[in-house]
Amino acid sequence: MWQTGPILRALWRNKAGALLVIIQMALTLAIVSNALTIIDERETMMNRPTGMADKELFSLTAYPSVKAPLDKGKVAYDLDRLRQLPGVIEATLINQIPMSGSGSSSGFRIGEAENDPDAQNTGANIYHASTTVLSALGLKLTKGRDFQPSDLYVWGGMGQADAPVAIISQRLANELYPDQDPIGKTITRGNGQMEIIGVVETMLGAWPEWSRAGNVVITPTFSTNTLLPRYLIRVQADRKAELMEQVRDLLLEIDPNRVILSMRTTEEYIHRVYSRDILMVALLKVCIAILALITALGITGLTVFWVNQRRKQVGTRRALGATKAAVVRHFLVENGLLCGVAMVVGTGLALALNGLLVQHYQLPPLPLPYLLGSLAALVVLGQLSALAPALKAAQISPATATRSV
Amino acid sequence: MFAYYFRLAWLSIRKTPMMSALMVLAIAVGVGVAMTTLTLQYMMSKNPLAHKNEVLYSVQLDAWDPDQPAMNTTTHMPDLLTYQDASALLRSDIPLRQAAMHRFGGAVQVPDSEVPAHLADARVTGRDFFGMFDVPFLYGGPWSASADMEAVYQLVLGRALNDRLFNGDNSVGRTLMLDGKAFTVVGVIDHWELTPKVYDVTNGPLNDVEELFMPFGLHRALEISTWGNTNGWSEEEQNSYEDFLNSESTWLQYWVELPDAEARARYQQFLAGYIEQQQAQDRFQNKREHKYALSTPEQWLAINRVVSNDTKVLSLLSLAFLLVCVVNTVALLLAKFLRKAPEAGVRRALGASRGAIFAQHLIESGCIGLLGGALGIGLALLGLTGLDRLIPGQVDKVAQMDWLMLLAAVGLAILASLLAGLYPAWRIGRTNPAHYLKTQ
Repeated sequence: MWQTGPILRALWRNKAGALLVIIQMALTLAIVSNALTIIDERETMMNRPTGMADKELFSLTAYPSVKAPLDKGKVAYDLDRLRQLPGVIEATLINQIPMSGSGSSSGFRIGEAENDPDAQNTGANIYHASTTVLSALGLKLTKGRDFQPSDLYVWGGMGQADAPVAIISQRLANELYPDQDPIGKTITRGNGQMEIIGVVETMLGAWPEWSRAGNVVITPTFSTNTLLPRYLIRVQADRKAELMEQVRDLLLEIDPNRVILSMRTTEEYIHRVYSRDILMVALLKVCIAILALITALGITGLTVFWVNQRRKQVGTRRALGATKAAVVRHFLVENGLLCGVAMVVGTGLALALNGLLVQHYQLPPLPLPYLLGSLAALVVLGQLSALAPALKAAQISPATATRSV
Repeated sequence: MFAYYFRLAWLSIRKTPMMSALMVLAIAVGVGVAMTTLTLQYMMSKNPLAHKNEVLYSVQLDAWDPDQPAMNTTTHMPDLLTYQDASALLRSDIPLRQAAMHRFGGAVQVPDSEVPAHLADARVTGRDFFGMFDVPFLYGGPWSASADMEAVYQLVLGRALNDRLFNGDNSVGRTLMLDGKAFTVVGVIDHWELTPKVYDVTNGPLNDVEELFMPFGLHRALEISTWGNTNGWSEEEQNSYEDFLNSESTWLQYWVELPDAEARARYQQFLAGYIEQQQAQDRFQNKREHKYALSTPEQWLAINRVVSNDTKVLSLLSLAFLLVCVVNTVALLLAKFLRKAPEAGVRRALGASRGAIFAQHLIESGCIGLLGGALGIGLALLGLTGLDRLIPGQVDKVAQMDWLMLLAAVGLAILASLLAGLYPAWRIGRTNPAHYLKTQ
């Protein structure tokens, strides 16, 4: 029924062509399965929630034309006026823009034990912001309480100073106080201690590719030494563009001497911070698409050639009683056999290439589903590519057999 | 003879337009993808200071935590220096040139000018910076030597900022307000780019060169802090700017120019001596093997992994991709040439040598390669433009081909197609004339 014997013998006589198709399909399998693995790794990373209301946020720097200590009253006035703009949900002063790729981090320890070598110690991003920061960023409080206006700590000295209270991310809480309720506990930074009053579900922080991304400490601190006063403003998403203009105008109206800088949406920052991954994913996707196309066209082209080469034999078989379906089946089985060999060779190649990438470039190992998926896709691709020429072959008239021998 | 083969090739290509188009497309796409990624890799791995690679060195000192090495560098030393170490090193007279530096910025405005205030990217550095990195001056020159040690309100403008603030005039001697302080312009540099930005890869190897430069001696007068990384490990109190300067925080790049091996040896000795002297004061207490490092620009780019793994992986995959395209073309060419076997048989019977048939078909594949190469360059340029659009302002400096890459693209295309044509041309060259004469 499948006539694998004659087909195999025919292929053997045309070794070079068959071998080339096998090599091409095997290489395609190796590249595609590894590219898919990389794409999946990057997309999983990029799709992690930031914890914030990304679509509703933009930020800016209100840079004073003359350097002077930041005035708490003036900032409060700015923020009040901003909140009065229709469409503005909340606004905050903040020392670093989340997801901007720029920020500060510190080591944090549990408890007050300054020299306890056994104390848990880890790194986290540290944010100094207004007391409205949680609702301004759209962070979700899961334990404890939000900041109150009376929590604000004003600091005019040098170096780092934090408010006595802090809200931390769940990820940091898990690391410092596993299996304990962190509320009311203390974390230590340098010589200063902060009491944890709340926990937010997620906040990715400044550098999403950092191994400790998601470890975040937020304190309601106003530092008069802030060199670059940054505002983060949350607005109705559909009015963002229009409100960005209004906010700029309003801030310049309040103080025409300052310079409004780096006005960007959080979505822009996210795009920037992942730019290398976006580039990688895009290039790999284009590669996969073109590769599939080239391989498909190659198989079609070769099958067309083989059909033309064997017009007489096909005609003879038809004249001897073979049905059209049998002719189509012949070419599809032929393609399937090539595919089968290519899959075996290709699996080996894919694993070898993956081994190389894992060893030298710290890439993830190839998961089995991706390999199997790529294998299945290759079979479908091969059969589809051979189908059109095979159908054409079925149209070859049995009379061909009788023409010029 | 060549012209005749070219005509035959052209006729053959026109006879099978679909198949030829397919082959041209395969080569074009292979070359296009490979050249897109190879261009990125090539431009990233360029060393713009190659001509000074033997004399310029980035200095690292391991003033880090005695108990834990600094993370994230291959050398396990901090990339940056503390202010106290930088100022101490500046006192050495061994290097021909040397400069400590960091990124900074401020609002600039020309008094009584209509041009609105502009926040400019700045580099705080020493006067030797300009000589070390071959910075070309359009007007004036660097600031006075004393400005490296004491507060002198002078600055050097980049050409673009000079165009913006002074309409491109010679602004030497003019006054400029920076964060409300008056500075005198002493020099304007000509258009200057350094890709990758070797002297400060910490802040981004593809960042633009700063718009203005200001002297290192201004730190205390202006209480300048960095617009770049500050890394610390020591839990020390910092209650004043002076505390910050004397702290163990690292935030300064440091480069020296050592003209010969002798100067290099003397400088290494100086560094070892400095570390010993500091150890007496309870610093550099770690038990690690290396306490300092001098790296050439080339080493510095490698240590900081300026060519990322991603770029390398993409180059590797795109070469594999090109291989698929070549294999594809081999298969198609083989099919095509074998179909033309009768024609070759007749030519052989009429006296053409095997070599002649081989040459004729190799030229035909070469022609396909040329067409594919030309199209491939177009595709690569399109690809690079696409990347620039995809992530604006992040790859603009490396997503462009220079003439060397264009040549490489043509070469790659021809090589690929000749490689593809070799076996099919050989096969057809072996055609047995008798066989085809019989059936004709």
